[in-house]
Amino acid sequence: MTHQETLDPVIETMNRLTRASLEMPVLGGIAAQLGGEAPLKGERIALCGHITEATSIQVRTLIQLGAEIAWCASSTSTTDDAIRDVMAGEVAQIFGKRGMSDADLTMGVDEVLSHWSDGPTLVLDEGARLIRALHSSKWAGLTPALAAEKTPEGIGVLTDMELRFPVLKSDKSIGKRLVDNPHGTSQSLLDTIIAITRGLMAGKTLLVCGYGRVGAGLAHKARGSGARVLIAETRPTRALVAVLNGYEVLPLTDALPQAQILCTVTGQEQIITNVHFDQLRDGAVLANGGHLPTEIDTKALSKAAAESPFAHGLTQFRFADGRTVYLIAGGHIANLSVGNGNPNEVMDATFSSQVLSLVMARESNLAPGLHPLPESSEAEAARHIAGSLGLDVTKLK
Amino acid sequence: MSGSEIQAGEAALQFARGEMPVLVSIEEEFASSRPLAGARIAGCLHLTKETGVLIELLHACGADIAWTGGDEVSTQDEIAAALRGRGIAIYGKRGMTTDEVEAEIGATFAHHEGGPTIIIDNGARLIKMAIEAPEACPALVFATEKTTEGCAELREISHADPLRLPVFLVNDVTTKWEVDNTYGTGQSTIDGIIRATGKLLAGKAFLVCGYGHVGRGVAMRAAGQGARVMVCCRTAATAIRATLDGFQVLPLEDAIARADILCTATGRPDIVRAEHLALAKDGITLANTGHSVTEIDVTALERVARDTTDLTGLIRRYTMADGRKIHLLGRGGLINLAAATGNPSEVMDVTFANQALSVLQAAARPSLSPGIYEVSEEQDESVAIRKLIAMNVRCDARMPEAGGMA
Repeated sequence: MTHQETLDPVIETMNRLTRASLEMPVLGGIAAQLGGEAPLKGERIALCGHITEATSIQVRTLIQLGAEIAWCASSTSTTDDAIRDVMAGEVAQIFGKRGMSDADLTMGVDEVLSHWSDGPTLVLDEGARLIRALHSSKWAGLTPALAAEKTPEGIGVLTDMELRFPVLKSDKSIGKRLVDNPHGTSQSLLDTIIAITRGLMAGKTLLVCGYGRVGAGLAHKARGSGARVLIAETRPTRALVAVLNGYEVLPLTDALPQAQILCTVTGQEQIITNVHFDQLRDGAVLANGGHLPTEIDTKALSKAAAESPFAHGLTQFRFADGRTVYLIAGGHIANLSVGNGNPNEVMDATFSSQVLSLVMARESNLAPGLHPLPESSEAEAARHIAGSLGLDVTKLK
Repeated sequence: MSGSEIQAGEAALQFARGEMPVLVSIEEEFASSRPLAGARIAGCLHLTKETGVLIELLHACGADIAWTGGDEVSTQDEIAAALRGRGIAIYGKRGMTTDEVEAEIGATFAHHEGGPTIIIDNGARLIKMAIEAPEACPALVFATEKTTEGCAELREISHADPLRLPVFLVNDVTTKWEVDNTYGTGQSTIDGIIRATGKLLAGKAFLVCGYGHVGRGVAMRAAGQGARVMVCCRTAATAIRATLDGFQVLPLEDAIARADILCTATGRPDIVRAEHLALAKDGITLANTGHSVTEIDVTALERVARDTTDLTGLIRRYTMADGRKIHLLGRGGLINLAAATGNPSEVMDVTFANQALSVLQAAARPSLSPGIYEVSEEQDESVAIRKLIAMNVRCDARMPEAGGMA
């Protein structure tokens, strides 16, 4: 077959999933190792997550370990409809559609929680949607044995709640800390910025706002591409580390007039606001790599400048003084919104921690409340990830 | 001690003070109120000019001090002379045997009438004496420990049997891990290897054993010099980290056969053993920058070598039975201290600022219950701010106005 010929759409989707499973050997390894024992046999898992290739491989792994799955979308804009159609044949329930409404998201949560008369035994959550619903009066009759939440924002919400059941904090798993944050997100952000701007990084001045794990990774990879990297940071220890890594660290207001590209990766709100717009360089490209679309105050930007669509993923803003700046993905997380997102092999590491923690923490009868991931499952996840990188950990000294 | 030795020591201390603005700023802030008056300090920490500046600070704050370097090669005799000249009791000298080191640590511990009230430690040497012989230090108020290994050991001890004294672990903070271990030791280790051997690193196969904060720093700097870096790791997590940083991760027995230079940075004993030496590449250079002299099994090397020749004061060449040559630097001791001048003063400035603030803050507390204490995030940030100011970096970190530091 030549590359011009089109495949049957269903076969193409199946092939995409096959390819994703090849890119996700850690989950594959876990399924191969534990599948025979079916450690999750009899478990009913309610899952809230992006309906994508990568999550599908996680779902298949959980099924191979013996679980039944009911799955709802965690975001209105990320569902891959073709993937949903294929996965509908493999899970007990799936609910999601690209371009669905916020009300639809809530409906998805209800569908999943009402799927089994006794409710789910385990919950894998994103943004704490399922866990919050289970704490409303409507679902007070259902008590899963264990849940896991994977976003820092969701953990933040749960920290303030009195929980009825144990919840694992999987936002800081070993996969996230070692693979996803420093390498996955930062590579895909840089990749997205390059793809959307179609620019040459060498010689560009890139301002990274926030020098956490993602910011440090982005700075490092951008420098590797030949960019001149500036750093704005409010935490003194992180500012010092950035200085010692050879970056120019300076106040945001001094950096803005120099920056040709700016990327916020702080996890905080209101980083680039009204007071900064006058300092933006003509032609500057603004991107956000943080989870929420609140790091760049896009509402204020729309008021301060004439807004018009410019190119795929780019909006143009023209100020009265003639300067023009460009915003990637309307200020939403750039790599997920208009890029390819994290490579599947990165999600493999992240999901593996989650799967192993469910299997291993289930046996320890945790008290209701938030819990860190068990050390034993984290160590096991590290061994599996190392194995997927071709490292024979039994021979390491 | 000779007058010229004291003079040289004074000059070195003066120079170090200029490189240590953070420590000097703390001394200026605290010394006048003499917060350590009446304290009897026993210290065990490499006696370099930078440690000298820390000792001066503690002395200026009113403490009565006995100190020893705690290892074979790092004591700077002229610094010892200058400090003795000010009435500080210094035990030990450059070039001691392991037995002599132990004896000097014991003498430091026993120096004060009534025992020490504060212990400042490096590798938990004095602290373990205090744990074993509480009757020898009945007035002990607290201790500090600054090494990764010492902290790990104390945590282990405290799990088995709760500590009966308060111990401040001055290690698990960004300003120590990153500044001192990664950037400080990373650079000074490479510096020591180059000074000792005169070798060009570009193109060499450079093996780093261990990928903690120090190992990562050494690997990064060696790669920056153009070496081809391989890494040996003990845990899956460090192996993943090193791999994703772009380094080749291999088992030691495979890597040592290809390495031109090997440097241990694990903080654990017996890393390079007889079975590895049997596989080592002909002409290999072995160096250690971990905590003690035990990472490379020098005894095994002595045993299996057919011939031993000192090529320089720092390079001992061992000829194996099969004719292969193995070069050991600095007798397997810390190469950055043996062949270079240790971490740059400006790095030790940050590490010792954490030590000094921990001591000053602990001494200011009305009572301390036994157990393990960690450095607070506030102190870590305060040290980082002081350093950023000293480096003249302007940024969005919460910087106080000049003169009124956090």
